[in-house]
Amino acid sequence: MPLGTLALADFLDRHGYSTRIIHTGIEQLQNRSFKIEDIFKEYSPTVVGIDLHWFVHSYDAVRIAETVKEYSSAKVVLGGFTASYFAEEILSRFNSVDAVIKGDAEEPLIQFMRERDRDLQEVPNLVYKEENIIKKSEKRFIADEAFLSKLDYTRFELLLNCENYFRLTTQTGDLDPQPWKVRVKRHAWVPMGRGCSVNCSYCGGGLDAQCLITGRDKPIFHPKEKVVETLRRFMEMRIDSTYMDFDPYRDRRHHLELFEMIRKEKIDISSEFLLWSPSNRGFITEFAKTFNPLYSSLVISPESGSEEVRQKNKGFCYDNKTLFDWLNDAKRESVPVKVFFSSGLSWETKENFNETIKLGKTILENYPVIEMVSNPLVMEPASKRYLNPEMFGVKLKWKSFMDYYGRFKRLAEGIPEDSRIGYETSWESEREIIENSIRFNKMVSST
Amino acid sequence: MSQYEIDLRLPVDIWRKAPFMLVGPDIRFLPLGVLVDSIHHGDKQLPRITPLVLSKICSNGLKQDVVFCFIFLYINDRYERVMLMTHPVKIGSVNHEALEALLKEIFRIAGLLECQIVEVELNDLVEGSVAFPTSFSSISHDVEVAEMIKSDLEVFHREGFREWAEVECFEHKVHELERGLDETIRSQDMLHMTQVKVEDYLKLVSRLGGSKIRSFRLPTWDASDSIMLLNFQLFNNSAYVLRSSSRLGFLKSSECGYLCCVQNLLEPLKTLRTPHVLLFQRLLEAYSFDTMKIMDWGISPVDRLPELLFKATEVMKEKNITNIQFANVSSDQLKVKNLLYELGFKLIHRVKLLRREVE
Repeated sequence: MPLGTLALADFLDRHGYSTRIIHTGIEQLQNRSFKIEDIFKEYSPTVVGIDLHWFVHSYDAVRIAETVKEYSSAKVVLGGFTASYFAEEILSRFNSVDAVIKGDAEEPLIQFMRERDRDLQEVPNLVYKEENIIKKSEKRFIADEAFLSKLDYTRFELLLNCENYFRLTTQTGDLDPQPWKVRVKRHAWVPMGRGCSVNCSYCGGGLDAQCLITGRDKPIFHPKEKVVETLRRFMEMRIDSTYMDFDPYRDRRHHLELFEMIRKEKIDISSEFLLWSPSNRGFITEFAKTFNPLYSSLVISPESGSEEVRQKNKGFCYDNKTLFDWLNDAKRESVPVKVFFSSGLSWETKENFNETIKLGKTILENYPVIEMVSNPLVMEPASKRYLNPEMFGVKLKWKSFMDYYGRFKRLAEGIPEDSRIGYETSWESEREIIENSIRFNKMVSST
Repeated sequence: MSQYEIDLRLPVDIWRKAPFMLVGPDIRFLPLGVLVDSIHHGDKQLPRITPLVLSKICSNGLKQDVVFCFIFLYINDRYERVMLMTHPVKIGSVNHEALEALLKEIFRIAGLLECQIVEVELNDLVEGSVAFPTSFSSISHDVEVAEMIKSDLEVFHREGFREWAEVECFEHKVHELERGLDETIRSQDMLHMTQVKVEDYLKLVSRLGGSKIRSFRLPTWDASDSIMLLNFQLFNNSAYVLRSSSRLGFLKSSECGYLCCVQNLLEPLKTLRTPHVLLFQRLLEAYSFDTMKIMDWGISPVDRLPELLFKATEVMKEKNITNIQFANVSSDQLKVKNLLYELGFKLIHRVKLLRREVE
């Protein structure tokens, strides 16, 4: 569930619109015979919002939209990055979708609730259908820091079966109900900011993608006071651990000030902090001082063992010496780490990937690693590689929304897919890209 | 409707209230918030360790955590499935009602897991810094600082528990012990302490164990289920055999004792400020420990105990250890205890094990 869903629900609720969030995945885990149409036995919504932030939900979002239309008379609005990028195509293909909010959705959603039977041109960021013609509002809404301070991400009571949400979501946000694992912590995400300052070749949320999708041309932080308030509420809700993933600048003064405020407020919570580039030792020391060590860790994604490949693909570039200096600092400060790699980067050959395996093995043998994995990169809409495939030596297999929709529809129906990652590169085929990650992960499990 | 509710959770504030560490396969998983260690019994695979929190449901519907414990499964030497509950940790205000609610839930879970016996491990006496390991489970709290419930046996007796073991740990300063030992012990040359591999140690203990005065262990079904095994694997150089040579050169030396000792991992737990000390093996190799605990031992005859301890002090001096703890002495091992007291040891930790069958 995208982090912003809670804030959207709260914002609607505070503006007088009775709102519930239903996480269909959790409902299905709770009750194997759950069907989406069951929702309409209990609720009679006038509007159903469906998140289509991550492209992996391309098929499911439309399927839910179709069910909504079949069992209710509600208007269907989509939002999130994938919906925003493919808004026009989605609206032209699927009668079940009435509108898409592109980019920041809080204020537009309120306006939509007010204007839905009147003048949709008044709704900022809206793309909609009117008599089968796709139209776009001229009005724009881009949240600023002042607006972010109004948002509340802690109204979990608006989420049906929220207790299961804390337990069943993993750090990556997936539902992972393996019964042999005893899950012992309650976990939630804390919003830290929006946007990015760089472009990684593979990322659909980089600076240029953000400009394209949301109109945002630089990152903004959630006010520190608001983050501290959110963490305090988390602590009161007995949430043990929080995921922090917003690190747009190498100068981390903002985070250090935040850590100081958290300590001052005596907030006792663990943190899994994803760094977008290696920090200095001071940051790690402050992190270790601030957060309860039980579930705390630092996360970094070098992606490749080859400095050359990393430099050509990552917005925040660093060499292996810098990476090892950071790992040494984490070890000295007794902070466990997670390290993630990828296969399928542009300019990456098999020999380059062997460097990745070698680097991964060295790190695993010498540092306190609690998780290490390589995944084949999947083509993200609006990423640099997607928008400029020739420049990045990529041959796209997924280009339109229907390509993403089709891929995940086949997955849901158990039909073999044509492509699992949506591309191949000039250096490696799709099969080779996938096999590289398999080789890496075999190395991890045998080390 | 009960005003209490149980949850399978390890709240983050347990680290502050009752610092602890785990041994075993979960050392890499615990930071991720999962526990994966399991035991096999019959046709079932069951989680080895489960943390439990009892929460009170307040009048406003909010939940307040009250008390916490781990439950630890093992198979005893009669092939029975046993659930061992660790000494409960106070989170909120714990009264008899809360404890009774906790025990009720414990037995309900024991029934679900088809356990035949529930045991509870209570720290009946703590006088000083008790070295690792502090429990018969694979979870060791720093019992000196842990905010645990009072060791109120009356409540447990009312719930049908009966004591079945009482085990003590003693402490001395290494150099004082050495000084206090008789000159004849210190100067003898017929006894030799040899370091052995853990596998050989376990075989030796298995072979000699019955003939020796030996330390208390949980009576597990087989050695592979032994928590001791998890502890032994932490440091390779932890197992020793005491042999006496014959003055007649053609006779083989005989094994008259053995011991296994481990550095106090609760020291780096405090200084490194992490429960995950075992992830930082390189740091531990360079760590300067103060205390070592002899957690497994055997001797025959018992009069040779001072000699065994003397040899242990030689090992500890090499490692710059200043304090020695001698653990897992059953309360009824009176000769051992008298010898320890004569040598100047002080009692610092007593654990009572209580048990009740599951109906």
